[in-house]
Amino acid sequence: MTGRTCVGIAYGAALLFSLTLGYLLLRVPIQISDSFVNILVLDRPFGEVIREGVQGGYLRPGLWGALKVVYDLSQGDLSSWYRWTQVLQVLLVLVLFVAFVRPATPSAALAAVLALAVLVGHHTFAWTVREAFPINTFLTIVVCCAMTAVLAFGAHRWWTDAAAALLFVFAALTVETGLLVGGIFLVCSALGLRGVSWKGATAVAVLIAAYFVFRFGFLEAATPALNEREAGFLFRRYDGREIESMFTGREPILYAYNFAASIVGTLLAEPRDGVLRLTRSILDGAPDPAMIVGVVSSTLATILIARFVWLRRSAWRRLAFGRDDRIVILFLLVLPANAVISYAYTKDVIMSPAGFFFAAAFAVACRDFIERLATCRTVPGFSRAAHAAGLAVLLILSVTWSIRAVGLHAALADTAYRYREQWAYVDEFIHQRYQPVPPKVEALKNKLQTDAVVTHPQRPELREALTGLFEMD
Amino acid sequence: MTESRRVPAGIVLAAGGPVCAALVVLVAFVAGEWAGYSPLRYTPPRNIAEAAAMASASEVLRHLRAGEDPNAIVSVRPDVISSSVTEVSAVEAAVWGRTIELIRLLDREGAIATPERRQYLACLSEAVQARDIRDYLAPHGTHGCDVDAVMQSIQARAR
Repeated sequence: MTGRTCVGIAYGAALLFSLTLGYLLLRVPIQISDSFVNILVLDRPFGEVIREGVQGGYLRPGLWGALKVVYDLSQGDLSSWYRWTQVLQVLLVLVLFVAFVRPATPSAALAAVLALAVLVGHHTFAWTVREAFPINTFLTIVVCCAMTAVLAFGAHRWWTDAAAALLFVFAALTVETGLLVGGIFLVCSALGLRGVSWKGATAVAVLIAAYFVFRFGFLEAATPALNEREAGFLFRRYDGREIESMFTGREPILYAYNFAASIVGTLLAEPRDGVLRLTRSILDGAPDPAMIVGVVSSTLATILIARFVWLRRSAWRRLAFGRDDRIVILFLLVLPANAVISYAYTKDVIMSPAGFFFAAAFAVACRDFIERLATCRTVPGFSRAAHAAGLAVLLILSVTWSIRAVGLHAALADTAYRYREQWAYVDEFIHQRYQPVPPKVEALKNKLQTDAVVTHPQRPELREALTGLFEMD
Repeated sequence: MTESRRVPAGIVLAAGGPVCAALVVLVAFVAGEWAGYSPLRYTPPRNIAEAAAMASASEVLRHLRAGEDPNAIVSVRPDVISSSVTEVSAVEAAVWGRTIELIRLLDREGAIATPERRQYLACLSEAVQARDIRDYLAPHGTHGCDVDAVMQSIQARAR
C-alpha cells in the first residue's frame, strides 16, 4: 500500500463523515434562541453590525463580521446559507485534521480513521454542530485552530506569516477562545517548527499583546460576574444567583474547579459541563449507558496518549522531538490553555479546540500502539495474552468511539426534530420580547418559520430503542 | 519509533472494523433518508389529526398552512389514540396529545372559533383527564359537561 493510498483512505473516511454529518446538518433549522435576535441586527450597514461585537465588555467583531458576510451573500435565503456554512466548516475541520496528522503508512491510516471517529464522537465537538447562532463560533475557532496547526506544521511559504497574523486576528476577534490560535503559533515556533517563521511568530506575539492592551486598557472589559451564567458544580447545574451566593468571596474555588473540570472532562468525559453526570447516575442507582460509553472510550484513549508520553519521555528530556512528539506536546499545552479560558464558566463546547488536538494526539498514540502490537510477536517475552489484550483494547476503543460518532448523528436528527417543533411555537417567543411585534420581526419570523416547518417538513423522531447508547440530551 | 509497512489482519479488524461498520450504517441511513426510506424512525403522521394526537406541532402547523381544516373529522390509525377512537378532528386529537402548547397554537390559529366549541373541547379534556388543557379552555369550569356523552359521540363515529 503506497503512502498516497494511505492518505487517500483517511481523506475518504473524513469525506464520508462530512457527508453524513452534512446531510443531517442541512436538515436542522436555524435555531430560535441566540439566532433570531442576532439575525435581526444583520440588515444594518456593515460598520454598525461590527460595532455590535464591541460592546458590553466583549470584543467580538469577527463573529459579527462573519454573520454579516453570510447574511449579505444569502440574499434572503438565510436557512440554506447558514446551514451550508456549518457543513463547510465541518468538512474543513475533518479534512484539515487528516492534513494535520498526515497518515502516510497503513498503521497511521488505520489510526487516523479511528481518530476521526474520536474527533466526531468527542463530547466537546457535539455542540459545535448541534447549535448555531446562526454560525457556531466555537466551530469557527476549531477551524482556525486546525488551519493554524496545518500552517505551523507545514513548509514555510512566502504567505504563511501573513496568513498566521490574519488568522490570529480573526480568531481572537471572534470569541475569546480564539486567543488559542496565537498560543498555538508560539508553541509551534518554540517546538522548532518553521511553517511560520520567527518573524511571523513575533508578529503574532505582538498582536496578542495588542489584544490584551486594547481589551483591558481601552475597552475596560471586566471579567464575567458570578451571576452572569448558570454553571455546573459537582452533581448539578446552578443558576447565576445560586453560584453567586455559593462563591462570593470564594471565587478561586469555583475557578479552580472549572479549570480542573475542563481538563479532566476532556480527558475522561466526566465531569460533563462541570457536572459529574455519570457519578450522579450511579449514585441514583441508574447508571447512564451513554455516559459509561463516554467514560470508557475517553479514558482508554487518554491511557493510550499517556502511554505514548511515557515511552517518549527520555527523548523529550533530550528535546529530541519528531513530528508525532510535537503533535502530542501541542495537545498537552493546548489542554490547560483552553481550560484557563473556561475558568469562569465551564462548558464542554468551550473545550472543542482541545478536543481537536486530543483526537490528533490519539491518532499519534494509536499509530504507535498499532505498530508495536504488529511487531510484538518477534519481541522475546511478549506473550500471546498480552497481544490479545492489545487487540481487545483496540476493539473496545473502536467500538465505543464508533458508538459515539454514530450517536452524534442521532443527536443531530434529534436536534432537527426539536428545533423544528420550537418553530411551531415561535409566536410565544416573539410575544415575550416584542409588544407590539414590529413588521420587520414579523416578516423574519414568517420567513424562517416557513423554511423550518413548510419547506422542510418534520420527520419523526428516531425510535427510542435504537438510541439508548447515544447522548441525545 | 517502530515502523511497519504491513498491519496484520487481526489488528485491522479490531481497530478499523467497527469504525468502517459505523460508516456503512451512516451512509446507508443517509441514503435511505434521501430516498424517503426511514425504518429507524417512528411512522410519520398521515394527516393533521394524527400529527395533533402525536403532539407534532410543526406538522400540525404545516397542514394548517396548506389550508387543511383542523375541525374536519378524519380517520386516524387505531394505534395513534385508541382502537375505539379512529375518527376525530385535529383539535380533538390535540386534546389526546395532552400538550397545552399545541392547544394554544391551534387557538391562536383560529381553530377553536366559538364558545360552544371551546366548551366542548374543555369537556373532552375533562373526559381524558387533561387537566391543564381543561383549565386553559374553561378557566371557570366545565358546567354541564357530560364526559360519557362526549366520549360516546366520538367513539360512535367509528362504528
